Amino acid sequence: MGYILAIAGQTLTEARRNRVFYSVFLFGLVVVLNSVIFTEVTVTTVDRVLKDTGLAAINLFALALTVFTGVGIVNREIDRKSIYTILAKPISRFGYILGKYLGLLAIIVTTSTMMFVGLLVVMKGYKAPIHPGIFLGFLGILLEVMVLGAVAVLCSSFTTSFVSAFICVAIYVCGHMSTEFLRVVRKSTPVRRVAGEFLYYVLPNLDRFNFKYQATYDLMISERALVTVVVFGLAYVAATLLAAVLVFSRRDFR
Amino acid sequence: MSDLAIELQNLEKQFTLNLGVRRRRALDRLSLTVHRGEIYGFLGPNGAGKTTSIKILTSLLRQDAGEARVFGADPALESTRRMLGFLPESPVFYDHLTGREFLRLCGRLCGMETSLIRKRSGELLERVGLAQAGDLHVRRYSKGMNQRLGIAQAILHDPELVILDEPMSGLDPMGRADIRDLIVELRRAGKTIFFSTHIIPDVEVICDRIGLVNHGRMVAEGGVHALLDAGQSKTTEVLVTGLPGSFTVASGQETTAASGQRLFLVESEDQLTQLLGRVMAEQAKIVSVTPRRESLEDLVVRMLDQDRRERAA
Repeated sequence: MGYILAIAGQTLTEARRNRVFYSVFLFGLVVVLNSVIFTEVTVTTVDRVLKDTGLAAINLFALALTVFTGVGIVNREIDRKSIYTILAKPISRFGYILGKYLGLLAIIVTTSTMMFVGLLVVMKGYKAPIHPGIFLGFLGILLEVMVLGAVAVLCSSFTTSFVSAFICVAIYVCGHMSTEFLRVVRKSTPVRRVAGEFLYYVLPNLDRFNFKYQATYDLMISERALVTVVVFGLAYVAATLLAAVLVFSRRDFR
Repeated sequence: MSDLAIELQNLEKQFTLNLGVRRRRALDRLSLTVHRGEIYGFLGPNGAGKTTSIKILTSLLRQDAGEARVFGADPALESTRRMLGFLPESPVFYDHLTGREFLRLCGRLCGMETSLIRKRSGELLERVGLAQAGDLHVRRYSKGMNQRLGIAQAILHDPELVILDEPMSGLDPMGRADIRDLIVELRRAGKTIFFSTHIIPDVEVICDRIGLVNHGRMVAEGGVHALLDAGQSKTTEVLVTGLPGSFTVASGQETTAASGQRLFLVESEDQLTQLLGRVMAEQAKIVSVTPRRESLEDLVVRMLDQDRRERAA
């Protein structure tokens, strides 16, 4: 376990020294500008506008960070050949992938939490009430980027950064349209229906993690529904990482 | 534990090129053995299969056929890799870390205690001449400094077997001498060293045994001196001054003449005795009598040339 944390720590240090966390300041600027502009044009729903646009900005920044950092997390080391020294050490390839993923997760969670705390501070500044719904919205964002982070690590273990980024964005788009997609293919020919259903079950249904509506209108979901969503997210992450380990374990490093 | 540090048996490896349309054979039933406690030089031209063999030994590649063992065990096992240290060819390290931080990471990957990592890192940075540069970021290191850091990380956890792929590459003559000394020092401490290189004079000085590989096959393997002695001709050079111009020898026995000196080459002891007798009879002065030795470099070139001719035939 020690070496897995060492790899995760190294990944986090690399992001920190490459000034990845500066994106938080950009987010801060967006939230402040947004609060100044929208609160001027709206009278009664300042807190809703702040929550809605704030969570959307966190989602966008977290997503961008996950894709840009995640897609090169393994293949950049393969391209630069720095992986030779690391994999020749007494570590397993499973441990390497897990360490890389945990490092990516640490980057995303740290940055997203900083942005979320910034949003709460701004809301406090506008004396907007902070209800549990906003935490639910943030949890949904974290679960979504955890799943996309695992997809990025999987892609990064077998292809280039460009292709990985393309796949991640495609999965993000498809993941948010999968319910509509399923409805359409079920009305189609049997072959299309089988193929469509296969894709529906393989691709993550990212709409399950979308709690922004609940966050904006201070609604909560049942405990059972929450546990189901969390278990679904974690299971998808585990399955994706397992696939990454299987692919990566069979790789030759020429 | 096995008495053999490394054992490769009939190793085969092919690489696919152009999306699998073409295949290139990198190793062709390569076999070699390295005994515990020896320095083994792995020689061969570019593309001969040296790095491929080393990557199989470090579990970065998997062989298509044959067997690779390190201390009798599979190198894919973590417990086996704990016994070996590895310096890749033209190593690249995490350049956002300092040299000391990189060694700390390597120590943690090897499961070392923090206090031991700190102690060993300090000692090794000093030993490889990076004591002053330990806190510089690796991105600011020169090629030679990178190589030195690579050697430090390879031996940080005090492995029984050290595998070095082109360890002298990028080093100046002083750096090369340092690394040579370090390799000899490691052997003195009972370690086994397996290294590939193009710098043959270094091999001749420090290696116990060598393996010469070409086109993925072992061309020659054995003790350095045994190989040199086996390949030696019995030619002796005799340099003489003060001989009259009428003094002649059989065709091919005399090579050059300068400043009144004449150089003769004789192939046997009988010819040498006869030549020296005739020279002394002429009351000329014998400047030197030197057995001509083939250098390891000459031997390697000759063997590779012979291998090329055999393959062509």
